[in-house]
Amino acid sequence: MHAVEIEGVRKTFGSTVAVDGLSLAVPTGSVYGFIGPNGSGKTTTLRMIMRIMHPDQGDIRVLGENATEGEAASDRVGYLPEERGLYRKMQVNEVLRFYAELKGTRDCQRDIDEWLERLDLAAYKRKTVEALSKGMSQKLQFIATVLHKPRLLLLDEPFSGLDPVNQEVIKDAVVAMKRTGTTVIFSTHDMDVAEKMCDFIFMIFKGHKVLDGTLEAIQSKYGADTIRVRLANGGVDFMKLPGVEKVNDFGRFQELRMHPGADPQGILRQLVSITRVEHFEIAAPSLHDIFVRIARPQEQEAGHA
Amino acid sequence: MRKLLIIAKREYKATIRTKTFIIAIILMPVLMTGGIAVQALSEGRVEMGDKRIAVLDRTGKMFDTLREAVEKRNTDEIYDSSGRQMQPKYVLEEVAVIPDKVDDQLLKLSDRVRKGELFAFIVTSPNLLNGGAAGAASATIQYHSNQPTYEYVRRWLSGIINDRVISVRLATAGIDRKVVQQAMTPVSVENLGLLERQASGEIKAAEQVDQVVTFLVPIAMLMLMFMSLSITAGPLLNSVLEEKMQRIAEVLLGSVRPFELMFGKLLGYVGVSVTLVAFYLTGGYIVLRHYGYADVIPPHLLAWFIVYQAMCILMFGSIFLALGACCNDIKEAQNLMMPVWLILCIPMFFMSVILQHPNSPLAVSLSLFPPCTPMLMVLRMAIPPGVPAWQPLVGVAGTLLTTLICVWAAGRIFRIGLLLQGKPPKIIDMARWVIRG
Repeated sequence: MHAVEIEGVRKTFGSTVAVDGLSLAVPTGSVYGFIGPNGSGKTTTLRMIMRIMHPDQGDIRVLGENATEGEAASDRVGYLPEERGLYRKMQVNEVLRFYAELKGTRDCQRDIDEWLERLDLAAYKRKTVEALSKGMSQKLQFIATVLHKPRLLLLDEPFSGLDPVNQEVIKDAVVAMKRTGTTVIFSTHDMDVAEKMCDFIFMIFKGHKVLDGTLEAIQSKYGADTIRVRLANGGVDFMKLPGVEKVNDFGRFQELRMHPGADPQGILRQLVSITRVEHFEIAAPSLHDIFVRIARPQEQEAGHA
Repeated sequence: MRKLLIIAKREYKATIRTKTFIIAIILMPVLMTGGIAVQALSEGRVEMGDKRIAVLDRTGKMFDTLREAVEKRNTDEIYDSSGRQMQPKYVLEEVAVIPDKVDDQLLKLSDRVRKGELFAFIVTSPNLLNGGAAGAASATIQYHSNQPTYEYVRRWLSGIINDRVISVRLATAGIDRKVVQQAMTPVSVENLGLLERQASGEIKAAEQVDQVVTFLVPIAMLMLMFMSLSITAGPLLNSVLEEKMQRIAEVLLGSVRPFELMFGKLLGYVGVSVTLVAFYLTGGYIVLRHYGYADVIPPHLLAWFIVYQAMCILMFGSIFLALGACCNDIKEAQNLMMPVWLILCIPMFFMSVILQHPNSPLAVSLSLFPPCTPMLMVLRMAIPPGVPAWQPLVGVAGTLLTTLICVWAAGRIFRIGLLLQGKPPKIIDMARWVIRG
C-alpha cells in the first residue's frame, strides 16, 4: 500500500519545465526524504501532492484519492510550507484553532495545550504571533500542521533555521508521528538528517528524478569508491597519488574519490611511504558527496555559459 | 461550506478588531460633518481687537451716517443675549480731504495700514450721493486693506453706504421709500406634495415638502454606501496581501479551495460592512429622532439599501481581492486599482445632476449600468416620487449577474495570483487566466 503514487507527471510554468517524467511511490508509514538543489522542483512536487497545483500530465494518487482533480488536499494530509505562513496579529492559540478547524477538527484545545507544552511554547499561548522568534514560529507552524492528526505529513524544509535543540525537538516529533503510522515526506538540504531519518531518499534535479531508493541501495550503486584519511602531517598532494580522481579537503581529514578500478592498497602504501597515517577507511560515498557529484558539473556548465 | 464560514468568521473578527478600522469608523463621519462642526465651534471665536477704519469722505455728507451706524453697532449689535461681545468694535476716523493732494493722502493712509495703525480705509467718490442717472453711473466706493480675505468690514460698510445712497436716489426722484419696499416684497412659493383621497373618502391635504427628506436622505444613502465600501477596501486589500506575502495562502490553500477562501473572505467583508452600516444607521436614527425626523427613511427603502449594499461589496470586493492577490505590496495594488476606483466614483460625479433630474434618460441609464446600479438606484429611489417598480428589479438582476461574473472571474485570478511571485501581471494576463482558468 502506498500513501503517495506519482506516475509520469509533468508540470510546466509558461516555457519553464518544473517537473518532467516524474514517478514515485511512497510506502505507507515510511519516511521519505526529498533532496535536490534549490529550484529543482521539490516544492512544485509537494504542491502537486497537496493539490495546490495540478500536473499538466500524469497521475497522482494521495491516500488512495485521485489528486489531479479538485482543489485543496484531503483533511488527512498535513502540510508545512517552506516559509512560515502565520497571521502576525493573531494569538498563538487562535491561530492553531483556526488552522485545526480548517482541517475539520473540533475540540482540539487539549491537543493544542499538549503540543504547546511539548514544544516548549506554553508560555506563549496568549501572545501574538509577531512576538515570536523565527524558531518559535517554525515550531508553531509545525503544531498547526499536525494538530488534525494527519495520515500523511508533508514537510518542506522543516529543520531550516532551527538551532540544534529545536531541530532535535522537531525530529523527535516527526519520529513519534511515524511510530503512530503516519507517512512522512520531507524535503531538506541537510544530508546528514536525510541519511539518519529517511527510509527512502529521493533526489530531483532539474525536474527529473535522479535518485530513488534506500540509502544503502543508492550508495551501493556508487560502490566503495571513497577513502577517508587523516594524516599526522599535511603537505601531501593527493592528486599525485595513483587512482585518485577528486579530493575533498575537510581540514582535519580528507575524502578521496578513486577512479573506477583503482587500488586502495596502492594508495595506502604510497601514503605510508611519505608520512604517518592516523586513519584510513574505505567507504561508500556519503549522501552529501553523491548530491554534489550529481549537481555540481551542471552548475559549472551554467557558470561558463 | 463549514470551511467557508470559518474563513469568514476569522476575517470578520480580524478586521473589526484592527485599530485602523475602529479609527476609520469614527473618523469618517467626523470628516464628513467636521466642516460644519468646526464652523459652529469657531463662531464667536473671532479676534476682538477694535478695528480702526479711516474714511476719506469726498462727498462730505457720508461720514455722519457712518458714525451713527457704528455707534449703534458698537452698543447694540455686537453682544449676544448674555452680554458677551461676539464681534470686534469698529472705530471710525474722519480724514479731511485736501483737494489737490488726495493721492498723497491715500499713500499716507496706506502706510498707516501697513504699520498696523489702521485696519482699512475707505474712499467715496464726490458724486456718490448725487441722485439721477449721472450719479448712478459713475459713483464709486473704494475699500483699501491689506487683509483682503477679511470680508466683514467691507460688507458691513457697503450695506450702510448703499442704504443711504438708495434713500438719496429715491428722494431725488420723489419716490417714497416705504412704497418701494412694499412693492418689492416677494411672495414665497410653498413647496408642497400631492393631495390624496383617504380610505374614509376625505381628501387629505398635501404636506409641506421637507428639505431634509428630499435632499439629505438620498445624499446620505449614497454616501453611506460609498463610505462602507471605501472603509472596507483597505483592510480587504491588506489582508489578502498579508496572506500572500506571509505565505499564509500556501497553508490555507492546502486546506480549502481557492474559491472557498476568496468567497469566505468576501462574506467576512459583507459582515464588516453590514456592521458598519448598522452602526451609522443606528447613529443616524438616534440623531433624526432627536430632531423629530424618525420616520424619514421608509422601511422598503432600507431593505433595498441593504440588498444593494451587499451586492456592491461582493462585486467590488471580489475585484479588489483578485487584484490584491496579484500584487506584492499595497502600492502596486493601489496602482492596479485606480481604474476600479474611477468607476466606483461615477455615482459621486453624477450625484448632483441626478438629484435635480432623477428620472432623466441619463439618470435612468446610469443607474442601470451595473457597476453604478447599487449607489445610483438607491439614490434615485430615495428622491420623490421614486422610480418605476421595474427599475430596481432590473437593476438587481443586472447587478446580480455582474456580481456573479466578477466573483467567478476574480476566483480564477485569485487562485493563480496568490501563488505568483515577482512582478504583478498585466490586465491582459489576468484576462487570459480568467478565460483559460
